Amino acid sequence: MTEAALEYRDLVVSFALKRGLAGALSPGPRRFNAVDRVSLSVTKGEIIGIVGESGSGKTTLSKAALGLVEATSGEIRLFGRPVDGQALRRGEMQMVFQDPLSSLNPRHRVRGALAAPLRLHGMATRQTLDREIDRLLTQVGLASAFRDRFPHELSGGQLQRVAIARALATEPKVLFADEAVSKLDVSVRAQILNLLKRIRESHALTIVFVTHDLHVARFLCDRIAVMYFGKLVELGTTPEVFSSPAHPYTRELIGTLGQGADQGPAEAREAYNPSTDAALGCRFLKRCALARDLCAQTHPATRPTSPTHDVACHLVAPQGHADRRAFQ
Amino acid sequence: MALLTVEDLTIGFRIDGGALEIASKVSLSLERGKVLGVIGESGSGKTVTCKALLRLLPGNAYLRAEQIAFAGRDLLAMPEAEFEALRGREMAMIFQDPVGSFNPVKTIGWHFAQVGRRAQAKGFRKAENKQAAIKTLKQAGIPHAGEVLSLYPHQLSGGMLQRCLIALVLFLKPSLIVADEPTTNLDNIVERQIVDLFAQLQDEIDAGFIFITHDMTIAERVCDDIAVMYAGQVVETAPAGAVLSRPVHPYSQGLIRTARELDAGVEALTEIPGDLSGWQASPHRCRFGARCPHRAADCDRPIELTALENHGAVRCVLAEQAASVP
Repeated sequence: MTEAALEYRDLVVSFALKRGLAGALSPGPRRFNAVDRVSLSVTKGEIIGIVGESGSGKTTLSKAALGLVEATSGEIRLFGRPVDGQALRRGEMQMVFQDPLSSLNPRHRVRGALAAPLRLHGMATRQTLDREIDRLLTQVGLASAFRDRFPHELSGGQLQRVAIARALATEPKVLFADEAVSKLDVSVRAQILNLLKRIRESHALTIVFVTHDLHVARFLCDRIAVMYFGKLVELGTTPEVFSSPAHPYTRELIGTLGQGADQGPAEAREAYNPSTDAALGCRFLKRCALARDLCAQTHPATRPTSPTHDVACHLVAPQGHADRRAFQ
Repeated sequence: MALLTVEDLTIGFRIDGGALEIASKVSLSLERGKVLGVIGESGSGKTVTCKALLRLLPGNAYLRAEQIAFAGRDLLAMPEAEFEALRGREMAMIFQDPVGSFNPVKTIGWHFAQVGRRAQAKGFRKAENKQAAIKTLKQAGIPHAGEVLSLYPHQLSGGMLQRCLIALVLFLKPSLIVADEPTTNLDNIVERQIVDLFAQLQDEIDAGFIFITHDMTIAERVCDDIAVMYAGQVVETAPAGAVLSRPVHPYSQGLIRTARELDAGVEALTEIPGDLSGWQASPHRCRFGARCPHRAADCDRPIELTALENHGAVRCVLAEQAASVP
């Protein structure tokens, strides 16, 4: 049995839609589950891709693990232990954000940005600080001359390297990368993607890679988790998800689901609206071209289609039932 | 005759008493009904070049050019008042961020009324304008167009808003549309829809498009011709098919290789080492030289954009050689 590095158990994160007396009196639900009963086990040493459109809850999922948003219910475990304030302070999980320029203090040199976590977490003393900073910079492929630069003097790729170096300072076990390459140019993107693969090996890291770019996910990730409006709809190894996507949404993402004549462009069809549609069954109902009566009643449970492939769709027969004609 | 001809356009900014050159001797040419893709990374000068065409640069910018001609008119010598009438009627730009392009406290319908008034200064009729707006919105793939007109920008998703912006530009019926990375902020599905929309509209309206992007897969779907920019210079320009299937300049080769590799399931991507910074220190030699895998002694001089048979034009000393490799 492979070891689970990070485990989500029935995680719910909900945000208030309406507040105060007016909210209490007006009809409709008062809260919206940005992450709705997600269970996901991230294996040690893997790169898992969390894929979905904006608003699907993919960022909230990583923020919940880091304690940046509070879980409403459910549990998050890191190597078998519940994640509490103490675990967070140990720096075992770190995050790299989308925009490196805004995640570094513009008035601090690279040295300062890297020194802070090293000192705070007792990873370096005054004597060893410079050496440790150089070591971190080398790991991300930057020369030690970069120590004395300010963020505005660096290019996008160099900045993202510094952000990664800073995340590595506390020797984390799990690294969250939230759209970490989506603002970078194609040529620089390749450098950062290769870097992420390298540090996974060299640091025995587990990486949770949040992205909306399927090309990138396909290259980088061992497994892919597809989210749609707070629900985990499909989870499988990257080859499986790309070669035999099971959920209609994943098929639409990957572009294998033929656009029928009766089916307008997806954006033209209505998306899930949390304030009015909470009572609907499957969250993908309104956009799904294949919806049946059953789909309007309950949101489908997650079922395996193979030992390494789970999907939440009423139309996909579980493992053992070879009948997948629903799609043909 | 070409709709737009740009010859040797050089743009720079005056900063702290010095001058910073951003684009050097850029030449472009665009026919009516065609899409010209301008590809390059941030800082390569692609946006600045296009903004210069629409005179949207800030006050500290300067530009020199042999010629900028639009529909037979000389844009270089045109007085500001005359140009003002041209921009927003004959020329329009679609920006990366649709939210910032709309007035947040006005409805979508209000924006269409504004554009309508501007486009048909005389004989503007509100009801007719509304009907025309609905028609254009439908053309841009918005289903409940009538309802959308009474909505405010924040009530629409990013993809819907980008569609509205595209519709707004189409409504104007300009002859030149510049789209600056119109899909970069959108997610996969929406991005594909917008790209499809462009591909479809290109046939329907009689205008020249300039499509700025850094994404090869998008350029592949939309563009007829491609100009690859690097460090303020056009390094390769040719029909889209030629650039994408057999790029000649080492930089274009690198860009296209990365895009292909992402989908091919390789173990590690081939990197273009280094980055764009620092070329201004030595602008009079091959600006890609520091990152180029084929660099030779001959590269330390100004390289001209040279025509290449059966391809287009390439700024590389090895162009002839690279093109002859099957």
